[in-house]
Amino acid sequence: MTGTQHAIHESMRSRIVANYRPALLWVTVLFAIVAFEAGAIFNLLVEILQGLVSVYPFGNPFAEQVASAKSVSESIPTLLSRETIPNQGWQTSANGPWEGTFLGLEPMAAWLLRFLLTYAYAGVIVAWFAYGYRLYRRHYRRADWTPTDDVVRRLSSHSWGKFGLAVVLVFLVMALFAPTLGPTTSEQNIENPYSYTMKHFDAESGSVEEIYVGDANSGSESQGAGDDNIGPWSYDDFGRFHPFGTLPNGKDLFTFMVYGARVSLFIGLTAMGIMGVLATVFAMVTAYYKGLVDLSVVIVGDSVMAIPQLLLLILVAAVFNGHWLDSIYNGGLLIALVFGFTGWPALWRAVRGPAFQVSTEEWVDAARSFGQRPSATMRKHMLPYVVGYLLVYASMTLGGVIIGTAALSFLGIGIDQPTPEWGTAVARGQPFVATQSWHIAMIPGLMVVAVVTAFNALGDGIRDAIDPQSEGSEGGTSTAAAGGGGG
Amino acid sequence: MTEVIDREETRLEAEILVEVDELKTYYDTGTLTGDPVKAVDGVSFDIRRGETLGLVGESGCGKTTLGRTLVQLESATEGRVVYDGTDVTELGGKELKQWRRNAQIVFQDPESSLNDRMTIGEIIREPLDVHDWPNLTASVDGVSDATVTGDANRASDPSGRRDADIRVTVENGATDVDVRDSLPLDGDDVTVDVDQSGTTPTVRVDVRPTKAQMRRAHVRNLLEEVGMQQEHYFRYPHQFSGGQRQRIGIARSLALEPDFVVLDEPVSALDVSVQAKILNLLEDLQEEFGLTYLFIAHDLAVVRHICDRVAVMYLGNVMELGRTEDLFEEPGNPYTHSLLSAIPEPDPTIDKEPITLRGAPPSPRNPPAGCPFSTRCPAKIRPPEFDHLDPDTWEAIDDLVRIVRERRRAERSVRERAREILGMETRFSDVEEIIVEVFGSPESQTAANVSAERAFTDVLDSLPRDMRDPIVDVTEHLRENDEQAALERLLDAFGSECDATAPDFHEVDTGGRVSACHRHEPEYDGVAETLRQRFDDRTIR
Amino acid sequence: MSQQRHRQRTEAAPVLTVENLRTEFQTDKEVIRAIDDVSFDVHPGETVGIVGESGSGKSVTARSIMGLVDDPGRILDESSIRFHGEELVGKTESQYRNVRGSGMTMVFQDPLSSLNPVYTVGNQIKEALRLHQGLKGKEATERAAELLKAVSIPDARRRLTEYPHQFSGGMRQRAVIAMALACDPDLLICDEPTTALDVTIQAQILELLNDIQEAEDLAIIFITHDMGVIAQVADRVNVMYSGEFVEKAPVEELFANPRHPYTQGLLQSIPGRGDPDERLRSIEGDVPTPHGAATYCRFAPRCPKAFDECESIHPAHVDVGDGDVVHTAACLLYPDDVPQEEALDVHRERESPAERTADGESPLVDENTPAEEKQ
Repeated sequence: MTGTQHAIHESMRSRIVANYRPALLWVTVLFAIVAFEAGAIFNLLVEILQGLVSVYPFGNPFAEQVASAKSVSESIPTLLSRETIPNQGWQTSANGPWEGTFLGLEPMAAWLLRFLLTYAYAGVIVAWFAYGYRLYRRHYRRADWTPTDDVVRRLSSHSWGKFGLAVVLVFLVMALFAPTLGPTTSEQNIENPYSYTMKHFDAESGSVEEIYVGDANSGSESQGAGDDNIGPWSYDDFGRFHPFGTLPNGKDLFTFMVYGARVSLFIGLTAMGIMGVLATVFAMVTAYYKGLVDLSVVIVGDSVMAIPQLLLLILVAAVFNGHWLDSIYNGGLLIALVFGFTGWPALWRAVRGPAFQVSTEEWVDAARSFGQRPSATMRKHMLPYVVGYLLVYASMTLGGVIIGTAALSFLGIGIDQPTPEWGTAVARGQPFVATQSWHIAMIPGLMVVAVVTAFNALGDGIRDAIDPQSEGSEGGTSTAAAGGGGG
Repeated sequence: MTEVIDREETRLEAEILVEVDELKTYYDTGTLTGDPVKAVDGVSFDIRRGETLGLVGESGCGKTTLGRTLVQLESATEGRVVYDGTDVTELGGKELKQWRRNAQIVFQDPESSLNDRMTIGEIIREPLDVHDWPNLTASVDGVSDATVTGDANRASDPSGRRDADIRVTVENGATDVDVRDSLPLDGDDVTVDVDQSGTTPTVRVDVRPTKAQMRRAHVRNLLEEVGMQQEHYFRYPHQFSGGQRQRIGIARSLALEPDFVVLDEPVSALDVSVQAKILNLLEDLQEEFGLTYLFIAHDLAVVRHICDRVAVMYLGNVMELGRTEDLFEEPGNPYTHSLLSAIPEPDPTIDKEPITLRGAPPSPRNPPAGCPFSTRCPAKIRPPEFDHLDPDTWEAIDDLVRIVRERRRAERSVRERAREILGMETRFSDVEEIIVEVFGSPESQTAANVSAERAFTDVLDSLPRDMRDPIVDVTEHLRENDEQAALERLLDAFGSECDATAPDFHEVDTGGRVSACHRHEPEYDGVAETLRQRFDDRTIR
Repeated sequence: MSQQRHRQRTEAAPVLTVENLRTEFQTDKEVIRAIDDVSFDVHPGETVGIVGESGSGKSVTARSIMGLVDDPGRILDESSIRFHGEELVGKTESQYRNVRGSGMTMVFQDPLSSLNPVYTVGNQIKEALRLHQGLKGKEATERAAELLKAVSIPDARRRLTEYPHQFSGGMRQRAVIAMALACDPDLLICDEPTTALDVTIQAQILELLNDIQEAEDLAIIFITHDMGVIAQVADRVNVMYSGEFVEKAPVEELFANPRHPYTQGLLQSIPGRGDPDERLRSIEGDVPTPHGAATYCRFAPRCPKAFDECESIHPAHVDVGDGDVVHTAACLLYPDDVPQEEALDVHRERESPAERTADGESPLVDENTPAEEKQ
């Protein structure tokens, strides 16, 4: 029996050494994956390093090293990038061949190819993780079964949850790979269109012209009817392909969306992080100590909940104007902080119930009886039971934060221009909803709906997975067979 | 048989390990929350080393709270718990944590006493990790004033009861190493280096296995001791049955090698055949490790089997305490009589008429003044002027007292108070009906065409003359919604010593058994005699 | 005295007859036969006990009789449950509801969860009265107060307006019994009614049930795992193990002469029955979950007296009582007055379909026929 066999090898390392082939295979695939995007990964690391160094308050001692690191990382090729598969090109003559695009394909085809490849790559990564987990379970894990296995099994048979997970992953990839996915980059098209030029075949003059991107944008505005509209999945007059059409100011909507996804994700995750940490810590502490501690947190939490979030945001935006905090993501960090510090009471209350329930279990008493430290008790004996609920409510709250951010941008008090954010697009497209430029408001709107629904679905899935009494699970039937308890 | 008695005798003459002195544990003592719950209300007894003291009582009597207070899971409100000379209620922080190694507790519910997310090896090991077990001690013979360095510390147990883990004997230049049996350590694993040069001789003890290895080995040994297998180390609790989970709980409590274990209803949640196995295991472990048990249970049959002495608890007080067999054969306290009489015998040929107690135990927030059992005692002392009344009438009087007490406790909603003020009928206003119900015969109650007042006067007339005045007074008080005055009037007329003062402990046999009851005082009839009188005289309904 | 009582009652026609009851639960992996071919009957005024450990299927038996078995469980078609002669298996939910209200009721183990905490006790009793006896308003209140008095709850009228949490544990169980009596039942099924109660309160409840039974000539099925309680309340006892009855006997006979090794083991592990200083005897192993068809003796793996054939022949009930005491046990060791091969043949025949009589009934031991009448 595999269980007893593994008992002989007490440490993980000896087990891997004993059965190295699957692990080797998995690590090889890891290298391949990293190699594919090596350049991008190193770039990212260097950028983070740069960011950290710039925030360092006492000058910049490593400036040289950082600069050289940057140039090195930039020279490493990235296989899946817009440089390798470019989609921005120009026709050499009317209806002539395309130049500057990948293999001379038309921009749409090139973009589509890169788009699909990116998602395929992401799919490979997900599959690789799943495979790694299965390998670990089958060959390297000491125990035959852990409680997480049941959760995973239930989640994998939950259709609604899987749908949610899938859409969430699509959203994540969109945010992470934004520069690769968009037909152009935010830098080029949205933020500094007048710092970049592009070439296109000018039908009037019959030759290839070079113009500023900004001018091209002015010529591709979507403002209602007829000619004044670049709809979804169409080319504009300058040979650029717009999968989602353009905005009223001519900027590409798809690029706007994918970079907006980044902003939403950043705000969402930061807010969630703050809320999650605060809610968990307070839930553990109040459930363990109860009494006066619980009462104080209740009072503080209720006070915080009584503050109107919208007004607070406006206040904060006004007060911190020009502060360095405001500069991160053009106010994105501020919004995240406000959401985080005002949203934790709701999350805390949601997990307070399960935390209290766990604290009444006898194993918590047992831990006290042999002198276990409170922090260890909270971590080992209470937290694992609360984490599931936390995930459920966190995923649903994340959806709420995304909607909240979009709403703020819609109202114009959220992210500052020109940083892309979905709500801004909705606001801009609002006057044109009933016209041919419906896509400006509808597409971002539908995306928000889809993403938030997906997060809720994921939350549903997690909740059903961690609950042993859920429909069709083993726990339910064996209770039934025992005659409804106590047979 | 003689062997058994000898063992018992030695146990009972052994020294005292735990001394409980006027212990009180109250909950909700804050001023905002009303009356505190007096879970343990002044309890004193001793537990001797090596014995199994049983603690029985029904739910709400405070036995679980008492057990938990002894291991300091609850803080005592008043009183002392002296463990081997130290007052444990005074300990805090690090000292308390150190002390915890001596006294452990096994919980009742096998489902909830083990963390499902940890393997059972981890569960049993956790106490060892918390205390950084083992903290090896070494004693050195043959070298005076030696300092011990390395993996062990010098043994410093003044009482001399605990053996040092490693005993080093230096004789004629040769060093002999002896390791305590229950440690997962061989003599070969220990190397000793004696350095007698220099001003103070040093003895360096090196132990080969790491602490982690020793802990794992210890857990594996424990698993075997409790009848599980070593492979189970990596399994999760839900993969085991209730009985096995309880074994794991027992193993965990023994991990730190305690001397004293509180067993909080360890077999109540298990089936009968599994109970038997666990009880046998507990007895074996006690033999092997020299443990002292406090066995809390509500099942008297189990207690009779495993305990040397038994304490019977009711509403936070110990009512009787003595040797098990003696207590079961000839109970002293009326509560013990009732409890024993209520146990269904697994023998259908015994056709016994149990002394069925009426009513339920009073709330621990509001214990009665006087003897806690006074509200239900079948042998309660009656005032001499009413002692002649027949049993049915006395039962009716007891019922009335109970009803009045209940009414006093029952809350009035705002609506009811408003109705009272307006003079409207509320559920509290049918006082006459209560009297009729309690004192009337079945026929008088069902007579349909008799008005309430008429029925009331009829019932009053049927009562003996000297009873009428008190009953009328009580009815008046109740009509005015003054339940407190009504109760006082009732107790004044029909109450006795039992309601007024709490009884002292009296010795009831030569074996040192004590019982708290006023009837043990010389001026009253004995308990057994009273019960025989009262319950044999009744016509069996 | 109880023997006398018992005999008189057996003369009347049975209130409930259960024959070949089989209840199974379908899970995605397997079929669990919670009850596998159980037969017994109950006469008016008598208490039939079903005793077994957890996992034996006793609660499922109670629920099957009451028709409370839900998906994924179901009662198989060949089962028969006849209440006053009327067949219950196959009835629809609404038909069953009529029977449940007017003839048979059930008292569950945990009174706290049988009573709805948001309604007053009076409200709940009156609801039962309204549904089954059509009483309303003041009439219903009167009758409800009477019922509370009948179960010895003092100050009944005031108690009607209180909520379950204001009642103590014993009083709650009395209130539940009062609700059960509201519909004037002929059969009361008690599923571990005193397990959650203290021993002095248990004594009160058992006394109450006894009084009610004598007053109303009520038939009671009493389910418990406590042998002491069974000894006190039951007239006849069925011992259940892993979905089957392994021994059936009048109560004194069962305690005096337990025949089946499981019953013997159960009695031996009760502390207090034997010498207090001896170690308690116990039965090895745990109660199994019955999944396979019973083609062997389910107790064999734990039985101290098992032999080879126990793994291949399913024991049927054979008469093991002396004289006219009706005592049967399902064990291959019996009948023990004939050579073993013959005894095994008896069991083999009982199980073979060829032995069924023309009208499709298997020749099970008829409980009411005294021993001499059988071949």
